[in-house]
Amino acid sequence: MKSLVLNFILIILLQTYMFSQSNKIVKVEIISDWDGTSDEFNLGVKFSISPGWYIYWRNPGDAGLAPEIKFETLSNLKIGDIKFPLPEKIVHGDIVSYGYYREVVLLIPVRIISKEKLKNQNVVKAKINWLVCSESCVPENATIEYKINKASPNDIALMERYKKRIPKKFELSGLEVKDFKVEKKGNSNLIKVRFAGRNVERLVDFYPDIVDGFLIDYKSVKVKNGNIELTAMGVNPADVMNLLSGVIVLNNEGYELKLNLTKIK
Amino acid sequence: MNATQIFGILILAFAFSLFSSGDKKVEVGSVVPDFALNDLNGKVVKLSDFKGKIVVLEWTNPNCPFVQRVYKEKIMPGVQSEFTQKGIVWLTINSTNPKHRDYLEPKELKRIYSEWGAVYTAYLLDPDGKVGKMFDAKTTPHMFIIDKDGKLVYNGAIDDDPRGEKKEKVNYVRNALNEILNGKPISISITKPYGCSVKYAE
Repeated sequence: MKSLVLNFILIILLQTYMFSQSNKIVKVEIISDWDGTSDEFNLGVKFSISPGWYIYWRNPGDAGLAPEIKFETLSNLKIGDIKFPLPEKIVHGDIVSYGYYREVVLLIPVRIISKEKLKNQNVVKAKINWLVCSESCVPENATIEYKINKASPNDIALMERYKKRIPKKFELSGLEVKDFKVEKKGNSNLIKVRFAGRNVERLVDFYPDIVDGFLIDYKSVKVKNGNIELTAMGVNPADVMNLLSGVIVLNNEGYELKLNLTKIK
Repeated sequence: MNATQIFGILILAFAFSLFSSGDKKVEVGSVVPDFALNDLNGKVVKLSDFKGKIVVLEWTNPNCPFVQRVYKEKIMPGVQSEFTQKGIVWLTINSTNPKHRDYLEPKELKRIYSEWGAVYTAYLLDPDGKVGKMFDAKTTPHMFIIDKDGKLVYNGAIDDDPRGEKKEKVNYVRNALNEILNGKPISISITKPYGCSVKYAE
């Protein structure tokens, strides 16, 4: 009788969970690429997004909000920072956002501290919240538990696909920064960066990061003939921008750029 | 028509062309050009009606979850009530274009904001987005403060809590208004606004 009641409660809980997931615009699940033996692997938070809707990149741009993933701390695992695959640039008139349509897997590097402990404590719990927009926006959230087991070939293949879309180191881009300058135009900073190298013709866009103390005018970003140009305004209008950070896009691949603008080139 | 009148017309035409081109935006430190919009009752309200007063502009859209939160948590009505009582003019502006699914008729807007306890001097409609674009209003909410001399002195967010999870928030608008009322310079005049995009016609 006791087990019957327990089963009944479990069914109700499962149905409530399924109903709450099915009503959402975005469905989330946790996957991994753990091979069952390595000390390091990635957890993936997979967002399946209803057609026409999108969620945001680490820098949402002019509007919106980046997804947030908070793991319950586990003593047997060390969980790293979220890695965001290369997003799409989403432009509505003068408003520029960066995000993902249809599907994305955000990757979280994990290191196993104690394999012994993992045998008894192998469930991770994550609280995830995100903003999903089409014409309008809806905030959604979920709390998900995931049991760490050897990953299925399908999950490993999916993780691999998104790992390839994580922006790589700038040094691998085949580009070098030839020169740059920062000009003050009223309250604004006009930043110009010139690249050289074998892949300079492939440079098609730049997705800036948020830079503390400055507001980047995302619609001002222009990329042409190996040059990037953009304007940014200081929170203190007199400030001169000293750092440019973001992802340069070469065809469909991203490379991390971090440029100290105070260094004389 | 004499030479002075012709000169005046030319100056007005030049000023209009500057702000209708869509390129020139109002920046912090610059004088805000006059604008006129209809309120929820169809009455024309001009910025110049409030000459010599401190004016707050609040971009809004009741279907945006960020706007809903700042009203339901009484963040926006709290500041509105506190400062309209001190003689500050509060203009709430909705630039949602009529073809967008977030667009609501004035009667419905009046009902929603009344239920939310909004305390504005006027609720203005900017369906073609001209005034929103003049200020480069990007999000809802997006806040601007104009001082007694007609200069833009604040452009940015209502507070420092886009996720709505901080217990102690810095309310930039409250701080800036208190500084102005106490005759102090504004310590933070530009911040990154957060929220939904303004639903301009594309």
